[in-house]
Amino acid sequence: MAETNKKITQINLDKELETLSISLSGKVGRTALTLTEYIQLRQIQGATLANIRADLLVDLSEGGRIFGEFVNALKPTFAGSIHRFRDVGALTEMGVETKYRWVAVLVNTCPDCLDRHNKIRTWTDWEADGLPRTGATVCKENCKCVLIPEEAIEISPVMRAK
Amino acid sequence: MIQAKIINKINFPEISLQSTLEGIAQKIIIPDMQGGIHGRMAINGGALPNNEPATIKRKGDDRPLIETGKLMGSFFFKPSGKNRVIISIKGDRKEIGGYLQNDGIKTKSKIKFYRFFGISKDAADKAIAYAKKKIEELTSGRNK
Repeated sequence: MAETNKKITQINLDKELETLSISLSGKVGRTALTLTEYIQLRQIQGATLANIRADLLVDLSEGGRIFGEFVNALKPTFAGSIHRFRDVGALTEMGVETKYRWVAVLVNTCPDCLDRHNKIRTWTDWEADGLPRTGATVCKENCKCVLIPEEAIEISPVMRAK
Repeated sequence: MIQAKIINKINFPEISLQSTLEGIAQKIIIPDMQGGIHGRMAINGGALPNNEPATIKRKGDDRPLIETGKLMGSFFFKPSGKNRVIISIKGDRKEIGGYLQNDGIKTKSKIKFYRFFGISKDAADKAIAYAKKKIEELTSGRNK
């Protein structure tokens, strides 16, 4: 059983490493309005187009409630975020609905990652909290943690291959 | 008795940016990666590594990452859920591209990484400008 789990973990890591994918996302809501519908709603509520434009532009420039995740997803690729694209690769293979476990390597692990180690959430929830190497943890782009599907049980420290 | 209950949770409407994301994927991110390969530029700045002399001889061309044009035509995007777009590479080019970008090519003196896939600083700036333009268009009052 333990050997099987180890194999599953390795297969998923291999899958993660070999995928090249970028995920551009906004905040996902159950009753999402399009930007046009949102503007119409604000107008019905009495806001002027100039005010709505100003609000939206501030939200975009400051990474606010509407555009925050979008702006985060657009961070240019450099050392840390090249590895981030590997993480997103897992998403294309396994989907958003799968629950993912945060796995730290437990060697020089930062307090944020230690706190997240072994916790299970959906991809969307992890995105909201901050994926590994997106700067959401103390270790920022140097983070060595990985998200693996919930079913893959971690039985030994996970070593990220180069 | 009348009771007032204050709920400390306001549900703002969520905004779907799906059409904006698809526009950015199609018009900015993918052309930027293709343009980077054409221009021999790595996605994270700097130049792509030169091919080895033996590779140039075999291909009859010194352009890195270009031989049959298959990789250039393999970039795609697809909507995923309500507010998400996935950009990736089709077919066997994905595996080969992953190898070139992440594992690199071992030469006698070093390992060459062909960092061609991702979001360049230029593409990120263009995407923000695209979103800004979209906001300005939608709030101009001209598109009723």
